[in-house]
Amino acid sequence: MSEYVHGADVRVEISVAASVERAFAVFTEQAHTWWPAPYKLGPGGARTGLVIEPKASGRWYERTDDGAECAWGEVLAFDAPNHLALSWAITPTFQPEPDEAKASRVDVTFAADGPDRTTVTLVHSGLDRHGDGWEQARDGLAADGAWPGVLTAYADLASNA
Amino acid sequence: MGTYQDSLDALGDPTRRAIFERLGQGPSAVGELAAVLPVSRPAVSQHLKVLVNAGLVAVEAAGTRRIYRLDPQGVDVLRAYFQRFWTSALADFAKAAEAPTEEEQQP
Repeated sequence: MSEYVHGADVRVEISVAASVERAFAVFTEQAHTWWPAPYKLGPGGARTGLVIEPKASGRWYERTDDGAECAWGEVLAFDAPNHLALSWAITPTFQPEPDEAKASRVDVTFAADGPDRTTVTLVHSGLDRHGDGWEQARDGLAADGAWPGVLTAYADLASNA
Repeated sequence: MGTYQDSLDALGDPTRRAIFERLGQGPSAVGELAAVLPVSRPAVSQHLKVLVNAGLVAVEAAGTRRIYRLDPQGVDVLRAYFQRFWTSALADFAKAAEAPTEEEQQP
């Protein structure tokens, strides 16, 4: 796995021992199974689903055990099995972001390296668009769980730099 | 404005991390930080200087006092956070993609 940061973008690349079709399917159809469990937006209980509708302009949203659904953003591109793009309409305090202009963007590309090997590249761009939200996040950062482990994560990263 | 590497380097020091995390709870003056941390006021000032140069902390004058806060324009924290988040999430994704499918698990 490799990663680098450029401008306001984050890029992470990983090689997966699976066909490009399977890699795309697991990412888009089984997001709930591998997406870190603490990540949920709604006030309900545990997350029970994370749905990416298989079409451009589709929704992507969570389901929680109280039956509620809460949008995480919009599906910007869905080109199976090679490219998925999502808007990240989530504030730095991990609340729904109603202002589209403050959403960032996640692009995931799947490139076959043979029948059972796929390179998955994820680019999260436009993080500077969350700027105002970051200011509001200041108080929330101290509380554990508001945006899970942000300061700890940052500190760990810094320690290993 | 510091570079991304500057900000990581700046937080490589435990005292600076403590100051940074304390500012995460709200703006503070040097004296307030020195009161809650086991370091002298001049040492706090020196560490704040590094954090400001790295683009992580902003300073503004309030009368005769200088108030320090996390830089609201700084996106380095968000970048670092997402770099770590996606690295971890994609590792979990790879495990799921590489796990045997239900059909393959049948005897």
